[in-house]
Amino acid sequence: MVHALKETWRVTRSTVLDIRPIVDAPRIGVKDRVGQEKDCGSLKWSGGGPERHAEATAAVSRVVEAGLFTIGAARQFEWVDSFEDVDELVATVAEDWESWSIDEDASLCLMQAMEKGGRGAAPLIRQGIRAQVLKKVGV
Amino acid sequence: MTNFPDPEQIENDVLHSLADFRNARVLEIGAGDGRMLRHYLRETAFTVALDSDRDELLASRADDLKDSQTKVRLAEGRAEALPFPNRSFDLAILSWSL
Repeated sequence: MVHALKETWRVTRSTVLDIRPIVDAPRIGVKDRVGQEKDCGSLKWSGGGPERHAEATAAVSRVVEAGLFTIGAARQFEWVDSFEDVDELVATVAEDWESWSIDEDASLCLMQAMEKGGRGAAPLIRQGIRAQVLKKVGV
Repeated sequence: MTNFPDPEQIENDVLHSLADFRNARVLEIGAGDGRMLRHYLRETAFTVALDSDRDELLASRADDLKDSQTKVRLAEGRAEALPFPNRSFDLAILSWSL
């Protein structure tokens, strides 16, 4: 990752924007039609995710310490994916969320919350995203 | 049906609050299927969308990018060995790729 950052430094004149999920596991839950939300825990890591994020953060620190970049502005936001039903959420996690899975307890929690939430309730996944500016130093 | 904020719009707002894309030469590393290009492509001088997955890159030729195809070049490669000369871009985006 340090090498990737050095390469990015080489081809860029001024600015690098680093966008990636924050380390914390994505949260899952159900929001009912009046906005009340039931938290059902988090997706479970099954390899490749959080450790990689920590490595990426360490790599950024190293290139900053090496004097290649300075840290600029940053913003954090939450990416919320909502679904029609629990089956759609579970299928999406299985197909699209590499390194993440949903366990039986969480699935059961989602189904119960959907039933309790009634018409208009929606299961969701919340994932924190961070965007960080790195300003190039030197030529 | 419960309403949620549009995450694409939030992401778009965040990108534009942190970087100026107007007439910029942009490299997006890990462009994938080109989802994020839609936020800024039309403002740039040109954009190179780089990804190590050729199939993902081809998917980025989506219909809603067709009117800006002259501004975007798709490139297959990895961040560890970028196939470009020094200082080729004003702005580089590490798109979920670090």
